[in-house]
Amino acid sequence: MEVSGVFRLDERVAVVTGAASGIGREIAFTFARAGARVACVDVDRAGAEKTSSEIAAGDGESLFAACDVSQQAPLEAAFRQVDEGFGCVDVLVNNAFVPSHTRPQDIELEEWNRVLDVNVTGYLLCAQAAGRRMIARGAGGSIVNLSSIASSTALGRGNLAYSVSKGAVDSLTRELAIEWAPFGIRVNAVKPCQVLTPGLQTLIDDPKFDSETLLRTWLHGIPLGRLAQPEDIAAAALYLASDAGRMVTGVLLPVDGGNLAMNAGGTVGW
Amino acid sequence: MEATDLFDLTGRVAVVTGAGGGLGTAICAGLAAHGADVALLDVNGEALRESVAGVERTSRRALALKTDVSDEDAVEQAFAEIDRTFGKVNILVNLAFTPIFGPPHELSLADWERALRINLTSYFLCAQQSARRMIAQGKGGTIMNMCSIAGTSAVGRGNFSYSVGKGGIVMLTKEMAIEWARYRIRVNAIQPCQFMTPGLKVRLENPELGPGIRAKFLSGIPLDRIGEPEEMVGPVLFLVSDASSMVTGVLLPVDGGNLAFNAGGTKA
Repeated sequence: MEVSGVFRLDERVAVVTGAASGIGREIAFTFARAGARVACVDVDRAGAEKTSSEIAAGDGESLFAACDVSQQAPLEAAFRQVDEGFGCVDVLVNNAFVPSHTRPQDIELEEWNRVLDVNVTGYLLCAQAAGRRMIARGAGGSIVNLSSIASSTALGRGNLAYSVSKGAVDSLTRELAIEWAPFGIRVNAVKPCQVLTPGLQTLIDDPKFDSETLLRTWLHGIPLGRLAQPEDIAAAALYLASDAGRMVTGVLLPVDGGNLAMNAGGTVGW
Repeated sequence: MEATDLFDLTGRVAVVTGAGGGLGTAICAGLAAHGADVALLDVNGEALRESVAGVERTSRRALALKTDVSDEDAVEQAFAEIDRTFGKVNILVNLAFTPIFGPPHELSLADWERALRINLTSYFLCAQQSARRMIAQGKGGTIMNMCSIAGTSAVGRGNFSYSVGKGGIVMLTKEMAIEWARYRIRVNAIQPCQFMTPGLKVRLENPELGPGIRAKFLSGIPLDRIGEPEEMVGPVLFLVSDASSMVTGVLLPVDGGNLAFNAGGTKA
């Protein structure tokens, strides 16, 4: 895919968290093709390095940093690596998350805390690290948060902690958009339906679920009749990160094949 | 204040459109049971009989008005009659609608226009007549617009013109709430899921929708049952009474969890 015109990110520095696999990896590639210098951040060092070296092999500019985004000191060190390597931050994509599939009556405080630490606090810490740099530099910036259809509708089947974390991401997105608008920093979120990633494949293969039922249930809720591909999400993230979205802030953009437009008891193509 | 006083409507006059329908009968009886006199409007005069009887059983006054609420002149005449009988309007409950079904690629312009006139414009006309009186009275008032889960999410299966009308009601509710807040007129809406009315029974038996339509409805309702008209009384009373005196511009789902639930979610 060639990227042209207002969607280009030439000369800009983009930090992508959770860049080792799935959606984050695809966003890193897409942003690199759009001309950005990409910092690949992930708790999985080997994975982050792999994404980064593949970008470099494709004539892109990239560096990687390994850290758990919920740990402030390592995270700050990762952003210092970006300072040293690229000198600034123009774009942040908050994508790193941990899944959770435990029923409300069974989930233990430790898992709950872990999900909120990474999925919410991790977003805040990265947004803070990026936002402070953007404010100090005075050239604005764009932050894209990966939310989910689960942020505003309930999925059941043990998604409690995950959904709660995504609901918090929506509020984080809106609040940051308002707080940082005076600095020219735009903050938006993408709400994907189920995306065919290695992570989703793990879920499909999880013996806790009947994979056929799971797939049928997902597809029932997606009027376009297919799971999303990482590219679908990367394109939306690029739109929001680039000048194409320069008047857009505080927005929660579904990329969900029609899921959120559809009623739970609705009928597709009767 | 006694807990029950919050919902007391003694001395107030309520206007209910679509009063002869399944929800209308239950709501009119509920308003009267809490002290309101009720003006009952319906295009089908015969259909009002049961609703009128329900009001009179509580010994509140009922005024039955056979009215096409999509016709401005007819609405004005009905409100003039309400003025003569009751002398004021404190509460409006907009319920009137017509079930016009058809997929977007087949629906005729005539059906589209008729659906919007009855399902949306009638709300505007009755709200306008009510609000003018409430403003002149200077004592505020409450308007409850019956919306639907279809007002904010698509249900397909030919609900097109119905859903579009309900989407219009969402913004009608919010704009009126803002415009008339200064007159202490509160405007809110309810978003029900499927309720067991005579109209729904017809839908359930529609061969075009197939025998699975009931299961389809239930698949979207976490509480796993269709609503009963009596279950609409509490929510309406809340919104039209002083119990909700700080609530305006709100869409209240009464839907067994439907709008909280993702279309690809798992119920149990």
